[in-house]
Amino acid sequence: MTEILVVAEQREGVLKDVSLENISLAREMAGNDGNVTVLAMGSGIKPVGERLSLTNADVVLIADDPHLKDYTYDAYRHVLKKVAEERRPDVIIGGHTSLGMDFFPGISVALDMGVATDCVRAVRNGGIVTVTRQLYGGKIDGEFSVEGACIITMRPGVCKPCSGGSVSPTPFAADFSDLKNRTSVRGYEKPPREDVDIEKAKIVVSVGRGIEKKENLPIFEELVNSLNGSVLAGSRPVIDSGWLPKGRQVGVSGKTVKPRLYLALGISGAIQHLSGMSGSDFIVAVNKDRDAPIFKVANVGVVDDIFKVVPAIVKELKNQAQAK
Amino acid sequence: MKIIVLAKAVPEVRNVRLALKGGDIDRSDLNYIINEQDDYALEEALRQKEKNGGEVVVLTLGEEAGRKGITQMVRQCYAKGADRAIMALDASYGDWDDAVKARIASSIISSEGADIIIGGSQSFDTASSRFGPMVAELLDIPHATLITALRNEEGGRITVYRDLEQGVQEIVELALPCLVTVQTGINTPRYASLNKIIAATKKEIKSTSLTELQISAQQIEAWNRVRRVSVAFPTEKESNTLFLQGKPEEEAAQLVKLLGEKGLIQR
Ligand SMILES: Cc1cc2nc3c(=O)[nH]c(=O)nc-3n(C[C@H](O)[C@H](O)[C@H](O)COP(=O)(O)OP(=O)(O)OC[C@H]3O[C@@H](n4cnc5c(N)ncnc54)[C@H](O)[C@@H]3O)c2cc1C
Repeated sequence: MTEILVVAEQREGVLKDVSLENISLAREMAGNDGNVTVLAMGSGIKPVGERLSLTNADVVLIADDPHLKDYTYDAYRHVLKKVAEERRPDVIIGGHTSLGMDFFPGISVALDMGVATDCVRAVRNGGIVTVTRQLYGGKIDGEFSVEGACIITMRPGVCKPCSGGSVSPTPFAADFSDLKNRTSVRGYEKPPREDVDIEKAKIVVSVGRGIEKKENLPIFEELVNSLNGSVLAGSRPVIDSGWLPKGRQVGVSGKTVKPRLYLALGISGAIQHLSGMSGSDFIVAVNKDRDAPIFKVANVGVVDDIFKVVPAIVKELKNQAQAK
Repeated sequence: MKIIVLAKAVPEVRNVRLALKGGDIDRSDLNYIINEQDDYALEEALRQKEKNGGEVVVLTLGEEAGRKGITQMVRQCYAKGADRAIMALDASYGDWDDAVKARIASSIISSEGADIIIGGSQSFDTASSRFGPMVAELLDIPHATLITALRNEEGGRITVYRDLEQGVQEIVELALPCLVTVQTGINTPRYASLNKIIAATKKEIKSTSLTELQISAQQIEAWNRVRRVSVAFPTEKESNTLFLQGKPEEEAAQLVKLLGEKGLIQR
């Protein structure tokens, strides 16, 4: 019988959406007579068990222990190894998140299973898992086959959440007496509060590495000044370089914005950026590279030089204002 | 302090029209550059050396066909201050799963020995973020990925900040020897001066091979679990993007008109 194991992810007792998405994928992979097991790890995670009990998984295992309060590779490995020994999964599914990136590659070696990460599609046919991954910053799609029992991590948001159901959670008691934890979490730091809240703006003017240097910022600030209700934001490299403060970063490790209008200027459209802005109502992208992935989410595309187009837009806006 | 930097030369594809060839992209006309995150990794290693003394060794794996570009990348690393470099190139590299590459790297690293191994958190070409933590597990040392800060502590320990979602940082302490993968922005990588790059052309790069490492074709076959079946350009299902045409002024005028009509900007 096919056994699919979903490793659910939670933070502070809140289940991540990708876990529900992965249960639906697991159901597909398990077929009619297969079994879907979900494992959640943490400390004091009763609400997670409750949420998972309302899904269409077959078995929900809850490893609730102070050793699992924070994610540490060693403690998670300790538990997953035990669960995998018991349940012998054909496929283990996790999320491609900061936790997933840290955890699954190593555990794949420890369990001697192949691992494919950040998959945007996965199917299992005749015992073989085939996945689609994006390569070269989203310019190419690659299809890969994974041999034998394997681990896959799914990109958040690519599968639909699972259907409802009813399953009573089973505690999974892992004995931690033989655990030697080599890392310890000392705490967390939340990002500092910022002067402007880019999440609330109606228009977000977002600049990328294409602006080349900080000295070029005024060109784009001028556009912000001529657009009522707009704020300046940027992609990660712009923040990494210190050209804009951290609170202005759009993307998975920054903020998620959904303005009425998002202008992407000199931004290639890497997935980590797209996940923070693709929910915008209307997207305009200006980029020299016709093949830049940003154009795939754009409503309007301009394949041209931002240093020519942006001043021209500013001029056009000024002309219009005068004509009024 | 001995530090090994895992560095990969990746084809530069930004602003390039790619072509496909034999189940992969055609790399023959592409330039190779150091993978962005790896450049930050090298910088972090050099700063460690400047603070604590020691040695920085660059380890790179790659395809034989990319030898020229990879050699140039190593010279850049030398020009920035790396002390030694080890290169393992193979004609089959392009068909290998990270599990294969990680085993080759860990075999090299275990005979070198190191206090810290620093790599990038992902590479631009395949973006799978698997290599570093796999190497750590194979070497049986602790690891931390996606780090944005590294601080030395007393008693052979380090504290790192890990980049979680939504700008949250996780503060983790780990004992040396360990492996970390860096996220962009951890530092500002230095530039290599042309003089130093030229001087670096004389510096030796140690080469090693599967034969020398006593890794057999059967082993590679057994480790190679994830195999590329095909590559393709993404299907343009959302091709309802309206592309504006003309000179910049014309594009700007059309755009402002369109946004005004849609009520997205105030006129
Ligand atoms: C774990 C993780 C988390 C991440 N989190 C985020 C995040 O939160 N936000 C984020 O943005 N990124 C994030 N990234 C980084 C992401 O992968 C990309 O590297 C980044 O988004 C690229 O930024 P960019 O598009 O500005 O730069 P590039 O990818 O370098 O693109 C620059 C673009 O500008 C174009 N261009 C250059 N000059 C001009 C010109 N004169 N006129 C017009 N176009 C021009 C080029 O054609 C190119 O497409 C994360 C990465 C990882 C691994």
